[in-house]
Amino acid sequence: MVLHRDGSVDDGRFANNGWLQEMPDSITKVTWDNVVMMSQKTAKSLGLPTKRSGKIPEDLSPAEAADAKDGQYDQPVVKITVGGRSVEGPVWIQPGLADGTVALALGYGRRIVGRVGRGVGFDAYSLFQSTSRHITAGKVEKVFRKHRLAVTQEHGLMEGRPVIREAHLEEFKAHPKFAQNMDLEAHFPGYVPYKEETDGRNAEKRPQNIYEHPYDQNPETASKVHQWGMVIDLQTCVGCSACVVACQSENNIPIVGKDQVARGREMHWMRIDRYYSHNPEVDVNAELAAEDPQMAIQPMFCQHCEAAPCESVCPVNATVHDEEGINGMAYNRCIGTRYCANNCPYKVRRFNWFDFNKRESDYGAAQDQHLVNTGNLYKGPLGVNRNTEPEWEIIKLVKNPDVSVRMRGVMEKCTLCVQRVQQGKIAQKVKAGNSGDVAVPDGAIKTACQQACPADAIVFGNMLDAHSEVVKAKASPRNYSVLGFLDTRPRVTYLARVRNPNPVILDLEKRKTPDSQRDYERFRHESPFQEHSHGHDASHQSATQAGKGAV
Amino acid sequence: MASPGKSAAVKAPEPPAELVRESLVLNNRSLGWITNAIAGVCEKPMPMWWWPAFIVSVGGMLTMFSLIAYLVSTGVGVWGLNHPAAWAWDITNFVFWIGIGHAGTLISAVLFLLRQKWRTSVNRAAEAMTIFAVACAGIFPVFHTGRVWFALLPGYLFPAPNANEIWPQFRSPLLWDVFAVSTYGTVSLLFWYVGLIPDLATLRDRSKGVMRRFFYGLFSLGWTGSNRHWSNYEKAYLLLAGLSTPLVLSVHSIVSFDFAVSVIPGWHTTIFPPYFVAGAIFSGFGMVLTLLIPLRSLFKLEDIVTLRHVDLMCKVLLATGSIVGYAYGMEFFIAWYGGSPYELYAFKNRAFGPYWWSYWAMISCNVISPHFFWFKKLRTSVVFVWIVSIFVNIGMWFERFVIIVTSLHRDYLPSSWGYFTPSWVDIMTFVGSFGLFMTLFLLFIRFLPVIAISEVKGVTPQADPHHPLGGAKGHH
Repeated sequence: MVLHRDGSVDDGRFANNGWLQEMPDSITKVTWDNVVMMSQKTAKSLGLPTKRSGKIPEDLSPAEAADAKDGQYDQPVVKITVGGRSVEGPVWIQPGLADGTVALALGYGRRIVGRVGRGVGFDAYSLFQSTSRHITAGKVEKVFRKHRLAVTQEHGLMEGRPVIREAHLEEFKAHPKFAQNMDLEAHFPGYVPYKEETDGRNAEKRPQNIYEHPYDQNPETASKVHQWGMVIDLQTCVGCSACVVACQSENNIPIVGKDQVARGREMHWMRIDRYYSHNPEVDVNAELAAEDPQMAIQPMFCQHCEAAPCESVCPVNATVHDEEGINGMAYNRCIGTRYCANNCPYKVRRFNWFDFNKRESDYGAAQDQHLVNTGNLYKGPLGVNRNTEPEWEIIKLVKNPDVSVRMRGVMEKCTLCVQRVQQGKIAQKVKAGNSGDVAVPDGAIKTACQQACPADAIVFGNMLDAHSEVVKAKASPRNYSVLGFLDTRPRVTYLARVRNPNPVILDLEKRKTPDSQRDYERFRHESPFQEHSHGHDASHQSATQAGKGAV
Repeated sequence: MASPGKSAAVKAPEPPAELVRESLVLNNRSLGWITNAIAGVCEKPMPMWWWPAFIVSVGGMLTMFSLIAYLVSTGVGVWGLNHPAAWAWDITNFVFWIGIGHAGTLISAVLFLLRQKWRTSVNRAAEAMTIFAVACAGIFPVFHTGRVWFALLPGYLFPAPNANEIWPQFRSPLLWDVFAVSTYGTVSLLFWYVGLIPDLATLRDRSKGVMRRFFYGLFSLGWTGSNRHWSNYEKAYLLLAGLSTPLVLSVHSIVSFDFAVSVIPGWHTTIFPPYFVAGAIFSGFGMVLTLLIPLRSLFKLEDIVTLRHVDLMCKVLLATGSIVGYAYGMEFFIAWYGGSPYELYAFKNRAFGPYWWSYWAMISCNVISPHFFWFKKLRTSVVFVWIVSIFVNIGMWFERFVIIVTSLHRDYLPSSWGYFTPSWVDIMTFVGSFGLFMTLFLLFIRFLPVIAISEVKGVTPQADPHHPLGGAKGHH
């Protein structure tokens, strides 16, 4: 049994911090709770239910070992007894955890804490021994009770979709552009989405397009000074979620409480997607293979598509592009049809279902807990309006004065920190004076997520500046767009992940390629490391090199 | 007026028996009987069952309005919506109700232009149903918005000059919806009202109370039944029929664009416009049968709304139901043939994913149930037809639910997959919309002729001067 410090609340010192409580755990994606983590095999040996009822084929669902409905995981509770002291907590089947191990996060279940941390999780300190955080003798029993967890990611498998693109180092060396040879765009003759972008955007005409690119309709409206772009390096991202909280604090994103998270209504503009993949060939027993997954993570937020599907469906022009390539939101124009969110292929738009900024949420209170003042959001005008409380005058100071606080009924999403961009531009204009050099120098503007990233996995900058970091990053052969075949031409692109496995640890005979890559090959019957067997692919290869749409 | 005795004296050549069409009004009912039978419904006090039905319906309507007040004052979160399913029951109900409206327009406009005389017995009730269904339909897209007060303000959805110089976004299908549905509602209302004028005059002339006489008099616009009035009336009616006919196709095509124009697998489908139109007519005829079958027996109108009418409407159900079934199959074929794994997954997920039950409910109600109507015996068994018509209504609601929710809840990125569960507010608002619909329909029965009196009389043999029983004969 391992007692560990928590990624969100640490040893408990941050237990009253709503941002951290609502930040999904890096791996489990559980919010507002700590869990008793164990492997599927361990859970089975303890006689605990390990499978969800018929929602997903079970060989594909190592991560789905709970009865989940829209992020509401009703988990069985176990009682853990060590030396006469015991705690009760919800079971969490954690793929990849060593069998026979139970892991509990400390820092939850604090009895004396502010209103945010009240009633959140269970107190694993009861089992704490001064000598060691590793306990070797204990008892786990089933308790006939369930506990609802609020989880932000319900489905943990990529289903063979190349959302995250990975290769082993050897494969990458042989096929450096493998990431650009995946998904449906690899089949479009003459499709050249990754041409070096010297004029600041994906300017290459795509022969199969029936619609004109929005930028070609009114080329004079596009700025010739700045065109913003971003690159996320999946190689360096560690999934710590610091960006999520940085974004939340920068952009006045409200916390919504456990109940609303469980209903799929968290407001985070950024999320860290976590995908498992496994290789059944490593072990013929699929269930055991589920115990040995590979994991990949991907920060996901508004991709700032040049041809944005959200914009063309908004009936009131509330979401539009600015001249510098930022897909912006005019909050006071939005009437909340939510069509933009439906039509977003990346599902990154967030709707204010309630007046989250005006009415207090239930914080960590579960629906089954009867704490004071729950259900405030559902009381509407009869609920407590925080704006009338004197205390709120202080709480208001947490807001960033440069960013609008949104009311209920409007859509919101990542703006690439447009307020910082504007500040940077103004500062440069002041500095430039009469010289006319209004181009912001590279690195002068940092988005909140970029600033918080400890791994420098996020690069933001001007795509018109040939020497900027972002242009260099986008020139990498690893650069790819998620769902590039939709031709939305995202300004946010990703650098594929290259794994360099240690042959002593990983059996490279059985795992020649990352498991997610293997899944992709298995689902699609094709490999980015080989020439396609289709007729058009010979020309495709040359088209990629020549940058011309030869068929 | 002709009497059979007099006309017997005229030696008119009898048409061959096989060319004699079955009379649309049974038992050789006279024109006077028709007027009495139909006008009598709204002139006599309502039967006992009407009052409990009305009270329950008003209760439902008030429930819906209270829940809408709750929604507007508190936030869309009182519904079960979430990310990724930002639309669910709201738009399902919208498309469901707007689809029901289509039978009215089809019967009143398209069948009129095609000279399908049998329409006269059912068109009034079907048109009333259309208007009430459009009223129910309109509520959902209006109140599903996060900020209704701006949605209704000119300058947002409705184009109006404003200080910001921002116009609505004319590329958005939701804006097309605004125009399509409001045009549809307006034209349907006009069409219904114009058709009512001669009958309102009949009621005016028969009415005894002061109030009734005043209101029927007001709305019959001074109708005297002169030749000039009839001539103008028929021109107007024909013109409105011409105007309404494209609406039968356009409205639901545009509603289908709400989905077809998007990029979401399961929505982005070119088959949608014809498929939606067929489905709308299918659901509309289902609802017409659901309403008319009890109506004809409760008010003893079986001689006017005959088994032949039921039979013909069942044939429409069979035809449109087959188109819908074909569309379901074709969607799957294209999902496979198109070669997009995302598309294929969306359809597999419909049939075998977490919402499998809604898909198979849809298939059994919409694909299987209409095929009973290959048999005339079943087409003319009113109880059986009524039960099937209920299944059609249920199936068509599920069709929209399947399209909207199963496509949204699992789209491109598996990380954002989710599940939608309705809240009690979702459920009661939908139930309440039936209350609104039934309230309006019961008031319609109470105050207006449920069948077009003048039009039914026009298709009786007595009205045809060349018929052996023809009215003109007696006077010559």
